[in-house]
Amino acid sequence: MTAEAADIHQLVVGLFVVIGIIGLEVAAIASYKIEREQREAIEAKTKEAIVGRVIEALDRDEPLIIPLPRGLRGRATRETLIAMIATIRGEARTRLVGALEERGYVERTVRLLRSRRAATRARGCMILGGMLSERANAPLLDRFRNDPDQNVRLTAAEALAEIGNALTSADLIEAVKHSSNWQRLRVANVISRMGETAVPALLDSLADEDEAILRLALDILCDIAHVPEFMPVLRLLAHPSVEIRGRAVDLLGIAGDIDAIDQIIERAGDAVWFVRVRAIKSMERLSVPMSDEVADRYYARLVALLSDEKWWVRQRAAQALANAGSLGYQVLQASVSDAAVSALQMHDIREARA
Amino acid sequence: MPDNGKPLVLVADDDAPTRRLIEVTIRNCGCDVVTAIDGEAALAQIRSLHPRIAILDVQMPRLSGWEVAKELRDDDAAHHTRIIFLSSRTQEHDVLEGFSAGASDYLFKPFSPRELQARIRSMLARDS
Repeated sequence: MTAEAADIHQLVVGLFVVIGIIGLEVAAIASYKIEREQREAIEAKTKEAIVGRVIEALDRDEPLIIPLPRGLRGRATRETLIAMIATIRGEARTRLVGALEERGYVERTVRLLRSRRAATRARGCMILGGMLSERANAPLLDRFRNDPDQNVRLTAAEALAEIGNALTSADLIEAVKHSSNWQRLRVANVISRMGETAVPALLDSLADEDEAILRLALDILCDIAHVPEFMPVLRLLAHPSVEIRGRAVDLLGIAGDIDAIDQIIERAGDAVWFVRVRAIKSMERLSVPMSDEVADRYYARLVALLSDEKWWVRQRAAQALANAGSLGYQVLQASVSDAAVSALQMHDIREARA
Repeated sequence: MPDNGKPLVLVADDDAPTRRLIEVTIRNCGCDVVTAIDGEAALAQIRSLHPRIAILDVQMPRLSGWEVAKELRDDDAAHHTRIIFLSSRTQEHDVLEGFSAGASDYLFKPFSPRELQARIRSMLARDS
């Protein structure tokens, strides 16, 4: 064979190999697509059957017979039941959770928490959270306290919060101390959902020296908006950090402590403009005090702030006056500041619409 | 729809398992049920079939439950249809928005199937 013919031969062979590889790839993709469609069809059929069967049984007070298939059908069954548990409440939910426990779904999922792979342990925690079974509390608590992986610990905390009652807010606040910013957000969400039960531990944490803990605790308290004891918050109005002072004054307004109005009025004279803005917002939330003496201080502060060096402060003060009843409105009308004019216009527009 | 004397209820929710759950719950209290997967389909079905009750999710594609209710408020032909919102939006302002859009009732998710049935029966009995 001449050199040229050998080259052409090689080219043709190469071309066939490439076409063969492309053909195999296309066949693999097509086969994957068909497999996926079949999988989705089986999942949809399983889900449909489960929903119908469960609701009929719940409605007729019949025993709930939940199947325990393996593989694809098992996963579809479990996902459907968890979705139903999330959607319904009351006796129906209790029965569904009971059925999952009786059929061994909870125990099977707990086994995932013993996996060597952190991703599998985290997935197990998430699924157990969806099942809402208290039988999962002990293994989840163990993962929360002892798992070497931070994501698994946080997912266990989220799952425990879903199930309810097993986790203390003190545990979680402790967990925050060793977390990154993003992880702190997750913990904050969990604590926030605990609601008023988390408040005592959060108030205790306001004595912490770590500014990140203080910021987080104040943010969560603002979210929960319930503060039975204001002294820990009042102390923070003099904190050296601007962010802490700002959040503390926010919280006093949100949680509605009218007894703190004097301290809030004082904070409206803070050296930093955005603390002044937040203080004005809190004054507005609490509205004009009943006592004439305190009301005079309230109006006087707002009027003084109409001449603040910062436009945002002037604007906020003007709005607060516009919303402070007829006297506040009159005070504003007597002022000639730009912020006063715009606040008056906005007030008139709102009144016309109402 | 065949006239078999059963009251007709529309269920609109973009989540298939939730929609199916509500559908079976309502069928089990003696009603016929039609379903819709989004706000536009719900509005079209209410206008053509005049169900006695429409159970609407708030957050749906194309038209939200609130938008559907507001459209129906001005529609004389559909004023017999009572609207119930069934939503995971549970803030006070959401509830107020729902009633101001024309709802007869506002229920939260997760919901109790028995409670939903009791409310449907009560509403139908009142209207009879």
